Amino acid sequence: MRRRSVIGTAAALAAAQLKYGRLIRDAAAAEDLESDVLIVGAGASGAAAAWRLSAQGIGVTCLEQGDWLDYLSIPSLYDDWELVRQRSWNPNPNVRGLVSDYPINDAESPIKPLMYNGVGGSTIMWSCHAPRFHPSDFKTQTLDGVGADWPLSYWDLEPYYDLNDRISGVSGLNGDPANPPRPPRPLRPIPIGKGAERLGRALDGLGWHWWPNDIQVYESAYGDETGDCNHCGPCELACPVRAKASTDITYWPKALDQGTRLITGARVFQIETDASGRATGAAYFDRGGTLRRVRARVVIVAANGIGTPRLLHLSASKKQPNGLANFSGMVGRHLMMHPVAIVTGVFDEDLEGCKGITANSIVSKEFYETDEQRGFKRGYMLQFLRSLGPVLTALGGYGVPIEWGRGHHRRMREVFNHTASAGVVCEDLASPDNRVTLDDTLTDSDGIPAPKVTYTLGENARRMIAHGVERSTEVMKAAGAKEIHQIGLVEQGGFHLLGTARMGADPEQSVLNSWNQAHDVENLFVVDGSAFATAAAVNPTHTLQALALRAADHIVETRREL
Amino acid sequence: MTGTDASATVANTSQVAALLDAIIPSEDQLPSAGMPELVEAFLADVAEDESEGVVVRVLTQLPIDFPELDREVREDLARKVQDSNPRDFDIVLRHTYNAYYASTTVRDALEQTTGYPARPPNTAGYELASFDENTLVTQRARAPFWRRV
Repeated sequence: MRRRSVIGTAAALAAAQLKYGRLIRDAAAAEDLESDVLIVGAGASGAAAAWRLSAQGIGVTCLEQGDWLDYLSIPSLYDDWELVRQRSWNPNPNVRGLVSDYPINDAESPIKPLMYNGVGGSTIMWSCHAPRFHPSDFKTQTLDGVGADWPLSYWDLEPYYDLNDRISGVSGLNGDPANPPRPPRPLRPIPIGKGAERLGRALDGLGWHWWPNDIQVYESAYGDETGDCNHCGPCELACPVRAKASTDITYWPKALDQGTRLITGARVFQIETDASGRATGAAYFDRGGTLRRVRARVVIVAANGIGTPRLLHLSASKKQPNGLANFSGMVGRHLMMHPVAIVTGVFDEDLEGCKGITANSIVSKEFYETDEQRGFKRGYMLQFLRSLGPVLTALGGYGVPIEWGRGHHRRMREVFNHTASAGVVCEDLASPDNRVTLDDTLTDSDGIPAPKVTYTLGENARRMIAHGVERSTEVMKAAGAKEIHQIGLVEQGGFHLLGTARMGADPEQSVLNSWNQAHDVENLFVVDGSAFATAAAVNPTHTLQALALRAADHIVETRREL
Repeated sequence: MTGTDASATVANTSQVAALLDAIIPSEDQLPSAGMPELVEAFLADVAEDESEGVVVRVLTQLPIDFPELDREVREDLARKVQDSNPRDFDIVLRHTYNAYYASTTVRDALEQTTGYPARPPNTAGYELASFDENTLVTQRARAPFWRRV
């Protein structure tokens, strides 16, 4: 790797003072840290990259704006867990409003972005579904004439899916006819419960596919840092028994043992560059508001599909005035989320719906691949859900109205624990008009401009949702539901933030090459969901971790050229 | 029935209790949402979101003698308030349900009526039968249908 000197330190400070409108204390340059590789973001992909690089002797520093999770603070340990999830544990950072969060102007998006900021990133709040993309997801333009082909194939990524399975641990079952063969799953499937058993029989009757999804929940412990799943329910509120693969307990302990330096409370506001445009490190505010720097020969951004384009836009310079790595103008564009609809059946039988993980573990891929007769391209996954707790049931969660007044108790007896739901998880075709920019006025607690999300649901997705809602309704009828309720588009559903610094073979139409490396800045990599060329119709975490592991190997292999 | 109370406040707990009782009356072991500890929990939840003004707007639409009226009459009056101001009333409903179903008293009663344990989900969790692979017989008989590319 070649070394470049950081230029313009004083100028950067002056610019930051001006930008953020306050006096900023600058740590002495002598205090600048140096590292072979700097990673911004300690979530799913940043952790995987840190582990893979440090395992091969590369010095890694990671900057994370949040903190380590205090496991004694996890809501499901306390009686008020359903209240806390509406506030300080809300997945929407605008509602949560913690110091570690930044606000998002989401007024122009019918789907609200969700995330968690801290060590582990959104894996702290994820439901642990870890499916692989399908081979067709990487070639949608070639196969179906929509979206963009990835500059790599499923088969290029397959060894890294396998590697991530081994490190993270996964429960499941091989033999699924909807997916390519894969090695035996390290852990047996988690229990699916009465509701999913009923739905599985209904799907069999309809001649439609279903299978226990690959899921990174540990039916039995997987390594020293983990425990056995106790089927408590709300995985999305973190797991106090350490039975799910959040990266604070999977990759991070290993990466730290290998010498990785992880700095929390570090809010990066600029990737710094030299006169030639190469990345030289990053500037950040520490917890006390002091401006600090890490110098590095390679910079990896892993700040999620909103945080990453925000940071690249913030890192505009004289040489790259439209934002770092943005000569194509594609940074921030092609934002994809997974539009989700929910269909809920209410059953006479007590399905014990509150027992077991809320997001359940069975899925149907019957409508995943393109069938032109359906009136849309690409497809969707049905992910079946259990019931909610009593508070959220009363509040009408999953679209089942609960009356108040004299009929309230009767209605609660009919609904509580008696529901099963189908989430229609739709592939989102990329549009350049769906994008992340910097907001003109909104800022975070450090005065750094906040991101603005502009998103419109496409016609293809609308048709897909309508089709998925109809099919899910058929499933519920076949399963014997006495009532069926539909939510056409879940507003608080933007967990999967993808495509805003996409990979591609054409530097005019993409930000990254096939190794997650910026076309314009050879020592800059983006490894989070921003890199996705298509969204597929499955949960993205496994794929972005596999990409991060692969990119890390490429950095090691090419380090002398970087 | 008297006129509405333009000077209503959340400190008028009898008015609040009467409204909450109209929203969730008692039934068998399940208590009324208007019982004192649940009114207190309701007001705490309201304060958490700084929604006092919303509650006051709803209370001011109720007659001054609302607490003295029959439960059915109070429910009918509350429905009229909901019809005229659904957004505010929904917020009152949310705080009512939050207070009610997070209450250990209510949860004890719920356990007796539904079997749902009156404790947080962790760390005890729940027992569930292991996944039965025999349920996949039909699916295993199906040929692979993913697209090869």
